[in-house]
Amino acid sequence: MMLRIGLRFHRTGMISTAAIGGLNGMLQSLGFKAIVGNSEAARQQFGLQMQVLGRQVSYLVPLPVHPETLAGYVQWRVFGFFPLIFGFWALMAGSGVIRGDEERGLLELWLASRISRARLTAARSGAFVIALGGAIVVACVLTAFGANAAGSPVPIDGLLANGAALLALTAACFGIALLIAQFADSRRLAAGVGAIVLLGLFLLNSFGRTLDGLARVRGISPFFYYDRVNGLSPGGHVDWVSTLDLAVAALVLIVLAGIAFSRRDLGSGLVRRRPVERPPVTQASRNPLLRVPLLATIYEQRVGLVAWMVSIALLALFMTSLAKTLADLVNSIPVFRAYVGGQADLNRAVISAFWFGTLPLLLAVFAITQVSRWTIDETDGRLEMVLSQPAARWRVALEREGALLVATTLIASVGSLVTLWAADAQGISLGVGPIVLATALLLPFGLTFGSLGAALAGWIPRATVLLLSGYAVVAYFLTQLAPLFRWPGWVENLSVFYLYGTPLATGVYWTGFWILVAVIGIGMTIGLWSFQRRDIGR
Amino acid sequence: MTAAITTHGLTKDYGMGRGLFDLELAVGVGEIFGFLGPNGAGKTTTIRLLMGMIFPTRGSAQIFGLDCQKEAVAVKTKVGYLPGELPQFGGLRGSEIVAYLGGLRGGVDPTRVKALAERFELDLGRRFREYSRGNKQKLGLVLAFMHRPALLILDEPTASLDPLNQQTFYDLLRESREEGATIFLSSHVLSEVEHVCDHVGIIRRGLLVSVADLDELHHLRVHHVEIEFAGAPPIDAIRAAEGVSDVRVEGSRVRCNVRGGFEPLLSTIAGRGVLNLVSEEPSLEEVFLSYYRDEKPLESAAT
Repeated sequence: MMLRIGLRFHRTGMISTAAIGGLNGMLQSLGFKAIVGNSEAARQQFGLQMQVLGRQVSYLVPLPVHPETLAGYVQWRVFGFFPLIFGFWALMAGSGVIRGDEERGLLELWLASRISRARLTAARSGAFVIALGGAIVVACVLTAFGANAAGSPVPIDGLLANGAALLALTAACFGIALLIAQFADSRRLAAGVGAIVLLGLFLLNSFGRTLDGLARVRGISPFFYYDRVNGLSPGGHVDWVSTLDLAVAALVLIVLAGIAFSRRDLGSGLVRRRPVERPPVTQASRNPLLRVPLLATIYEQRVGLVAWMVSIALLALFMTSLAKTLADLVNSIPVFRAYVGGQADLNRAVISAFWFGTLPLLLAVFAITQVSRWTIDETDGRLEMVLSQPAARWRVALEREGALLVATTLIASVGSLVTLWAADAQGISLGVGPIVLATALLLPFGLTFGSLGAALAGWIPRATVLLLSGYAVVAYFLTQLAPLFRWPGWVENLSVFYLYGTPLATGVYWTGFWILVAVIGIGMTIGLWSFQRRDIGR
Repeated sequence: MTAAITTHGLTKDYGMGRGLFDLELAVGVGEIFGFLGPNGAGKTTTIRLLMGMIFPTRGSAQIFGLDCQKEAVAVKTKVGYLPGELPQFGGLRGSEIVAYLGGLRGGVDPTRVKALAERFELDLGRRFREYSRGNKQKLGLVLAFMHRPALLILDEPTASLDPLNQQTFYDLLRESREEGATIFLSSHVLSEVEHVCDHVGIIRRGLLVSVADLDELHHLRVHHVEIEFAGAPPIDAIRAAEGVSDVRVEGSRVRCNVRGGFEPLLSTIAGRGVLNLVSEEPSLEEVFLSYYRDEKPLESAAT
């Protein structure tokens, strides 16, 4: 019974991860033929360029092995990035299982019904591993399907080895997050500390690839053992012992988490913080931000918002630092020119295509998390509490969109400022005007997701986040593949990312802009209309 | 009397017999009105309709003459609301929640907030997730009372409160009424209703069974009577007396139930050598339960 409940709780994570992983694997396989070129010389040239790029991004993914072959390319571009995707899921699940259950009041209920803490830990962890196995199977099958369709099947035994290593790695990450969660007194804190620890372990292994000092201690990172499995590249080595080590580590971590869970009080971490002595407060907070509903929403999310801004700044720095390498790559691989559209200033075009192609995706993820908060506010009863004050429904709906707009502006501005500075440091002149334009156009982009979310939440609140996420993934891949396969314009216009355009390099794509404005207008009208007329409730 | 709350044929039909049906209700200004009913009877549905959270299938509801759906914002300027279950405010502190919801009202009197927090001994400096269930309920009460509303709509207000804080709450209710506020509260706790309410509405399966003031409700009670006779009891005459039921005889003692007035029974036993007569007043609970048994409900004193 607990296992079934656990599987149900992991449903969204499993579907999302399987969809992202599977689509990524399939589309990278399908797209390989288009980017690698037809002649042997072009293929070799491609391989060399990928090796150069691989060295640049070695602190994200392992160095590529035979990237001129589809199997080697997929190993690098797909399985190299899988730890990031699956690791994120493991983090959220590890901090959500037990600690999240506790905050939802479920844990007390379960423990009161003759379920031991050990059994609960085993059942919730077992459910995650089963869901994880399902997601990995889907990702591997879709990758294999894409490779077959591209005419270069990947070795099945290698795929199995990769899948097993990914399973063991993700389970180990889950175990780490689960163990940390037993020491924290809230899910939020557990997720924050878990993220720092997992990121630290990830970077320890990544930098250890090139830095001798860190190479000696790479072994404490689970990602190191995953690196030792290369089942697809020609001549790749599969180290089953590493996979087994990871699996054992995962088991030990889960058992340790179970022991820690059985020794701690519900409602607090294993290590309790000493309460701070202070006189009781009997006054309302004087924080002026809380008195303006729109700013109150921003204030409440301040920690998350700062984390988003810091992450975006770091990523902007990273992506901009790759600009010149990417420009060389684009120069030598004709098919990549489809992304930059024959721009004179290749560095600017590369930043526009690659960084300002990724930034909207990240902002889409942020907007979807905001929409998710709206639906949770309703199911948790918080919206009812807000509407019990003299605040019109339309005002509440518009304030939500306003808060989304303010937060999007802050994140996009930080990203753009860092991009401008990093580009300038490399001698790439982007110009303040084009950067401001590219940033300003991100606002209607973010609002598009907000208004679509508002419209969907009025009709199918439970499926809103899933549908929006699905659309974002499909639209993003559409933008990536349409130039390679020369799909017609109307197909490209279905993607919100395409509608945003490449304003840094080519100015405003007016057709796209007006479609975005129309979608925002229609979405918000439907959203407001349904919000005014529907029952609010848990 | 001016009505604070009026409903006409108010219906929310969720299908399969669930919901609220044809509610006709009038709560006067300055009244404390108790709304009684078991789980799923329709109490919360009624409250959520009054608060404009859900829309009626048919019928209407007004608060101080304002339509609860069409003039929801104006209604809420006059209402303090405590939901049956407080939502999650996560990491926000009590003081921040008060400031945030107060901000939606355009600000609240800080001295009132301070007085309420001190009265309930509630530390507003703690995070919401750290509050016990009782403290969350106290915070809910502070939020409901903080702007001195003309009408308080409280869904099971004393749930999770300890007896001392219940007493504080009752005192606050009385004071609010003295200041002219109307109070509409739902409850399972009959002693609470008996303690503070002027009128009681009883709801069952979405239908209002009865509205009565407490005195009227007491008149509907079935009294348990035990009579001891010097000689043989006049059993047949007692059985025939109006309002008498469940007659049981044990030697010279007779036990029976009397509904309504005592005159028929007293005139029957007058001059028959009564040594002792004890009448036990049943609790409101028993009256309440009589509405929920499958037997025909007692006739209402007023609707």
